[in-house]
Amino acid sequence: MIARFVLLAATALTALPLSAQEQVTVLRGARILPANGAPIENGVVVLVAGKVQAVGGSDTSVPAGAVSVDLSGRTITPGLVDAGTLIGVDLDNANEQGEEVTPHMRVVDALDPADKRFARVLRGGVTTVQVNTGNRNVIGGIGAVVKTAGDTVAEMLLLDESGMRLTMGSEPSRGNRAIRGGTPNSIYYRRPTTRMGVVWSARKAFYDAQAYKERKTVENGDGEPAMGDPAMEVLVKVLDREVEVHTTARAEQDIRTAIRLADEFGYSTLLTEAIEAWRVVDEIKESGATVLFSAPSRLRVLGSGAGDGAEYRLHTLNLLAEAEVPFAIQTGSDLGTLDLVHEAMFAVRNGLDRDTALAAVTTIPARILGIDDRVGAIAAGLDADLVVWSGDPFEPTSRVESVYVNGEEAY
Amino acid sequence: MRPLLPLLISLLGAAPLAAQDVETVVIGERLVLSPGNELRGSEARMLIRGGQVQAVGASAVSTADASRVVRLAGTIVPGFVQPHSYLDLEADLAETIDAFTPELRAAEAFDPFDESLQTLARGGVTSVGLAPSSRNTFAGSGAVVQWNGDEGVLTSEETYLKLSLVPASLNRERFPTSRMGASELIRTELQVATQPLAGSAPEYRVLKDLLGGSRTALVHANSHAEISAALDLCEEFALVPMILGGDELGESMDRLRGSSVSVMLSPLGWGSDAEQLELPARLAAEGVSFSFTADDPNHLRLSAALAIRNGLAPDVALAALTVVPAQQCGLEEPAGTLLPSARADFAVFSGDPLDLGSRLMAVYVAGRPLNVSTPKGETR
Repeated sequence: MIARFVLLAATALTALPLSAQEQVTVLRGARILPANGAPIENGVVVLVAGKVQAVGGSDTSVPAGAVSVDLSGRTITPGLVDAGTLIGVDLDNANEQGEEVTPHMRVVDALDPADKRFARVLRGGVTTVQVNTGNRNVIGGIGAVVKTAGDTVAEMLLLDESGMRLTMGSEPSRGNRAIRGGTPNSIYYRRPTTRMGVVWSARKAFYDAQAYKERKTVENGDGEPAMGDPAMEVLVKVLDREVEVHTTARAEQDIRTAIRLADEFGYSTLLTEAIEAWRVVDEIKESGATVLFSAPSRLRVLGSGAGDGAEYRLHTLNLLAEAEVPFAIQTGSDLGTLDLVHEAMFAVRNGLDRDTALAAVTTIPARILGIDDRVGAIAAGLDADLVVWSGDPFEPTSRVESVYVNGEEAY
Repeated sequence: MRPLLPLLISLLGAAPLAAQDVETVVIGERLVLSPGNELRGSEARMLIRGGQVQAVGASAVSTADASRVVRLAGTIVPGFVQPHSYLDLEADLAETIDAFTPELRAAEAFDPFDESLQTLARGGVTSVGLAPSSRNTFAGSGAVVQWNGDEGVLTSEETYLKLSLVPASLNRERFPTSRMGASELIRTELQVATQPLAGSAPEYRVLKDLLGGSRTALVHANSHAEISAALDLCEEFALVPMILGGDELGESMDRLRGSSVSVMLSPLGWGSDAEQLELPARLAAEGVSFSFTADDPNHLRLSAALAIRNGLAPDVALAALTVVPAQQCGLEEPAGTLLPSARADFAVFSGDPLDLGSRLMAVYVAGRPLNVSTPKGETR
């Protein structure tokens, strides 16, 4: 009797999802650029329950009862991944100016899911972005990785804690000022006001974290761990290589400093923006760092106006590719660029091969952010985040026809 | 400051003492006891003694043994409750040198002869939640002010703990300057409050009450991003918040469904956009309780009327001006009603109170009439 009841319940359970959730969608006939393998002509992608179930040629087996979408003549790529953006949060809320070193600030707390720029980049084929803190602090805080479709932060969230933002160069010292007479009654009377001061602020933070870690190990030998200092806790994770640093460094000297600091304290860092990477390809190669380059189409980006004086070269990415330095293309902190595909297109126009350019906006940023088990390619088991283009994605005349996020047509 | 408390209590006790033996029977055309519960015609009467409603209805109230009988032509409704106000005291309600001031109490800034309190009272608002300003992240504790003859009096010195995530709380000259920093401050300080040693400092007493559930959090949040941050933080610390403002709550409806979050809405006006005008009806449909806030009593009635115009049930609109804000201010039942044992605070309108064509005829506080027509500055 009980057994029969269980059986009945089981059939009822399986019956429900079949009708409600397990709608199978099959996209047929398109040219598929899976990003992690060779292009597939006249391909088939099977989407079930928000995931890619199968991808292959026209002979790929398809479950019965599937809804078929004919996409002949179109090209399908994975949803693009922008590893560094400042969307979803306005500049005032992406920079906590109360202190200079704020590793414990989390962008996820300030995210505005209703920011129209999410929809804007989604229409351009970007389905996943890392949102960073701003560059006005030496250590800004922790970024977050979100999908660009969804109504709430929880719905969009992939990672609530990604890399920690560290900024070299002159940008963090803007706004701070030295005391010239009067009483020091403003929070902006503080270090750093120079490039020297920026590096010292960073170095001091890591010295403090080393001392904190040592003290904590002694104090909490075998007792109950007391509540720690939230800023120091993050820095200790950085020293222990549990959290990666994303160092913004534009000019050649700042890139060198970024590498030197990481080496000195033993943490792992990505080099972001890296406009003058072309000058220091060998040093970057030797350090083993990955470059998050932004933004190829912009001759002047944030920072150069502030005196960092970084010079731009059109063949920077070609040099990195030749030297086999891993890199991703991002739109970065320049609010004037939102179209990731345009940046990749620009790199292709300047000599980068198409496969490398596609990887630089899909598989590589996904791997860097540690989300390649979810996004970045079209493969069985990954999220069904796909972009349907009217033609080759790197042709300026091609446009985005539709975008799938988690198997649902979001655009 | 402590000696103030017994003094205030004795002041409060003094007025009803004098009038204690006087039994007044109030007879109206329509007597609204609480939203959806009203008496009409000869039933519309109540007995008041010691400033409190003693009994209601024709069978329980006889004019024979009353010392005084007052006949009022019109509809008698419970005095309105404005759950969040700065009165004229905003400048004194934020210690902005530091964003973390949970120990501060709005009660300390209270002025019994405050003019806007008189404006509110003459407009039928007989209980007011006095709140610390939104210019600090941890703003401090609210208080309740009621009316006592000629002056306002504090009847509750510590109500909700107010937190603020609106741009006004982000000061470019001190931490936090960003919403990110504000969330971090709230999270860190609530964590500190759970620590045995650090958490024993006086500032943390209020936070401990909050985490222990004996105090409610009132979070000022208007935009979708602020509301979303507020709900996330409250979820993280298992707090059930009240949201103040909530202009863009419509976008978080899924999260409110089935939760016990309650809301103090910004006033509605003829110029409000459709989304805001429809919000009260949508909240009601999801079972979320809400009140209206406005420092002009006419705006309270206008808000309720516009909400009704956009689909809200009239009883729910009246509750948003009476019972709900009374609960939100921590007033004990049956505050916000005219049920037996409630304070006899009521307003008399020429017709339905939520019909903007009705005129306010009289306001009674603790059973005694307030001079409604007296111009500002001449109330004493």
